[in-house]
Amino acid sequence: MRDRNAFLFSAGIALVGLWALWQTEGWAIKSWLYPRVILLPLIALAVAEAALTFRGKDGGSREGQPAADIELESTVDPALAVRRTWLAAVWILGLFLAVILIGFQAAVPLFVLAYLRAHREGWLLGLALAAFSALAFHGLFVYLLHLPLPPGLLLRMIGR
Amino acid sequence: MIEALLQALVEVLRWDALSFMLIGIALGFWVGLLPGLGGGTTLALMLPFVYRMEPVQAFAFLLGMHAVVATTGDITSILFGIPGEGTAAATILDGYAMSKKGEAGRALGASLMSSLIGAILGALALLLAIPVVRPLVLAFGSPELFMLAILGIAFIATLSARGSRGMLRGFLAGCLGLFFAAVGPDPQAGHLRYTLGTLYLWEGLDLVPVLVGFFAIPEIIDLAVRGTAIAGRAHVGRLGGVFEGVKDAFRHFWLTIRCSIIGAYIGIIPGLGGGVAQWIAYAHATQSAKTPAEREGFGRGDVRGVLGPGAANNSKEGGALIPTVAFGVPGSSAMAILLGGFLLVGLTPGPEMLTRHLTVTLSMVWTIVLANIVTVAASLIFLNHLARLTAVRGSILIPFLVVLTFLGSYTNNNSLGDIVVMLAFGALGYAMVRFRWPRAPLVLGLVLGNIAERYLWISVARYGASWLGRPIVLLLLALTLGVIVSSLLQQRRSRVQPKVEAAAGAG
Amino acid sequence: MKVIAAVLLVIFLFLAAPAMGQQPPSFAGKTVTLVVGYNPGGGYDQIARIIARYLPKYLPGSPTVVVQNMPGANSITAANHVYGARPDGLTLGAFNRNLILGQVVKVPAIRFDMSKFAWIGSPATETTILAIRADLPHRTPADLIAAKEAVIVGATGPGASTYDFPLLLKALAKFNLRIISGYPASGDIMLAVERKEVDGRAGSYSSIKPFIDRGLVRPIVRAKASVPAIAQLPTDESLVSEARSKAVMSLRSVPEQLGRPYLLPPGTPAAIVRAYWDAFTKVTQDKEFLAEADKAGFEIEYVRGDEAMKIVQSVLNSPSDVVKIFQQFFSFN
Repeated sequence: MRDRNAFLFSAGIALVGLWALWQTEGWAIKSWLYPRVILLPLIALAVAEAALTFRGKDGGSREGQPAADIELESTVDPALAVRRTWLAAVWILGLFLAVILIGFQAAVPLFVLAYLRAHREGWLLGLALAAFSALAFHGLFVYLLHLPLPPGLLLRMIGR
Repeated sequence: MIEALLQALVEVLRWDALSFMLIGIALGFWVGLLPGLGGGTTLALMLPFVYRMEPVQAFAFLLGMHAVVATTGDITSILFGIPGEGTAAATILDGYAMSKKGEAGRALGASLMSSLIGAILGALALLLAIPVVRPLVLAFGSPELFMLAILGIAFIATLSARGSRGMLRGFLAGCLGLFFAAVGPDPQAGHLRYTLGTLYLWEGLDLVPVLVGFFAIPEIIDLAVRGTAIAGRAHVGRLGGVFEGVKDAFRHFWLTIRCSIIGAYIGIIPGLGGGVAQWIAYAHATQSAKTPAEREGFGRGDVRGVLGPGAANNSKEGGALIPTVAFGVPGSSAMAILLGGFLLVGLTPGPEMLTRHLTVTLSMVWTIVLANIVTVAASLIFLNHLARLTAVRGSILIPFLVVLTFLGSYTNNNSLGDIVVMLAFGALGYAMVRFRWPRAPLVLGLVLGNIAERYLWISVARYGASWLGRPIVLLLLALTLGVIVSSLLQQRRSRVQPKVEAAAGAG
Repeated sequence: MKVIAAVLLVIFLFLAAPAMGQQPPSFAGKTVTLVVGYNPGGGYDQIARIIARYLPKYLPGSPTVVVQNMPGANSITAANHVYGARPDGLTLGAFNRNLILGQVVKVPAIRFDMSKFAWIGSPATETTILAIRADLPHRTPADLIAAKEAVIVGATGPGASTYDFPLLLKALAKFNLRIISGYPASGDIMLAVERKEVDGRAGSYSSIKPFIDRGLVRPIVRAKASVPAIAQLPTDESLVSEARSKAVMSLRSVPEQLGRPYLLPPGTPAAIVRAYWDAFTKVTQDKEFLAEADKAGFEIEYVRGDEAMKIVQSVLNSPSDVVKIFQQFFSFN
């Protein structure tokens, strides 16, 4: 097996397909016909893909190349690339967590500031851009559009 | 007819209508740019302002706004890899790839020019359709809609990867998309499927959060990994770039025209929805590749991948007006709101719009054309400044891009569920890029699956098996087979000359 | 136990109301949020936005009124939210009229009790009719009952008037109908009528009216709630003789009398509720408002909160055998 992750991905898709198929149990025909028609080939294809990957056939460098899709950066040192990938994912999830905990209005400028500072941008630029993001956000989404914004769990806990 | 056409032009050019149009354009410009704001929503918010307007003023305002949203939506897609509108996602694949090569200016020029051509063709389609609109729209019943969805799904074969393994992955991605289309109530009994016990999924997966996460998140992560600006170390082409792109639209003139026609046709048929046209056009553009080497250039910054969807997502607006005007049946959600605008200014859509109110209808044709000319002209001034954004350090841009993806998805249902969906599809999109599964077939499956299921049930319930013999159904069946065979042939050709290197790239 | 608590709460509120209502409330300088259970663009949103522009004129203190869209699960999400909101008169909701039926058939996701909201009432009614293509010979309900070949009716799906109304006519009044469901929206059914894929459709009178005026379809039957223009049409209930059938049809149509329900959170002080009653009464008599609403195709008829509450109670107290039959036909989606 050359690429364990690729195998796990296709195997995971196959499992999702199986789960979805199992869910259709007990549905009326009008509900299950479409999902089952889709899921059977989905599972078969995913199993085939997983099996081929397991046997170390990743399709070679040419075969299996997407006809029309982007290619990820490959000139960066692989170890560094992995680290940066995880870091980016953590930042994105961090914003999500912050939105849940302290709400959009506080999370957005804080996120901008924290990200810029963590990437060694100056305080001045960081604060300026954070202020800009806060203003733009407030002006557009609060003042103009009246979006319902969840107040944030922490803020709710201390009584809004 | 010509007299009415001139009269309509005079009406649109009256100072009051013209100034309302300019206000509309200015609004639509920003709405298109910002991923958080959709064209349909904004139309609804602007509706109260038209109560006291004359019909021509009202449509100059509403349509002026709506006509440019698709045009400027492409700009965000190209510059940042975040779809500015749900209808502008297909532009990302090649448009953003061009930005990464330092060709943002050229991509923007190409997209704007193709948008303009598309808009004019869409308007022309509206004009030409006026005498034949009834048979044209009425020819498409439920069986034909089902076959159209199948034809669209067949394009999965075109958008799949190379070789038999590539086909496998393409169809796998397509099936996955078709499966995601099953989330939510089934179209027949309303039974809730795969809602995971949440209220959020009761109405199915919303296209915009899916697209934003699916395309933007992998690009943002990639940008973070590279640690450079979007354009990397490439020199961001300056003035020449934009005009190079404008010239591209004429270099591939027939492709642009063909994709405009595709868009207009898809727009005319109510029920297919706005998200479909761009992908079919994109698939068609990839078919225009002559050699395997050329074909590999798609997804890596082939300008034709920008021209196709750019033209189609604008021409479809003119097309979508046809059923709205002639039958009072909207061709898209934005058109549904526009329909509300008709009633507010005292017009009843229907055959009368083509006779007694012909001037109003024709003024819409002009509004679409003029609004796009104004937008493109105005954008050409900004474009070079915009293109330079791709030279800004990634570490400064990334936090803003992340915030935009969050807001761009949250504003769809004003629910945290939007963000969860966006993140989930972001992860899926990243994994697919990483393991080289093509993403476009998944989107095609997602936008067409529901239509296929819905109209198959209706066709069978209404006609039994006899619908299979209807002439247009047979024609569409033949086209479907044609699409599959032609992409298989293309595959074959690529196997005959396996050693052709893509080093030269596809200009 | 829960019922007793609810009853006690209602009694308490009624007793406590006059005491709390001494001071006339004022919203001066405040912002009132009108939560709509749908995205911008639909009927619920459109009329809410019109009302939001006229409310400041008639609410004491002329507050700013903003519309907030909270779509999801046919407005259950929004209703759950408003149910838990602070009862200070600064949050009100506009929801799906069928939520009350959702409660009757016990949709699990519903975490509110419609009878505990402080009802402002409904500013508009909805009239459901069945219309058949004008080139067909059928003109009356009797024609449809006697029709040799089934008349094909296009529909969206269960839970919508396009489906439920003809379904009850077919099952209880023995109309010879074949219902083809699955169309995405009422406009798509209209197009199917136009190309003769289906023979007719049910739906709100305001949405079918342009097509009646154009001569494409003709109305055959209406439900209980009505407007003067079609008052002469026979009602669905007049076509069945059995009391239980009448009750089932009536249950289906009750929410249409409260076509656009506006609600305040439970426990809102009576003085505030009264201020809203007065404001809605005046808005729905405002000439400019009426002109705008008419253009947008709404049938304005204000049913005040106390009146609405009686209707709500009667629905929630429907006999269980009626509910049982009703459940076979109705699904809330």
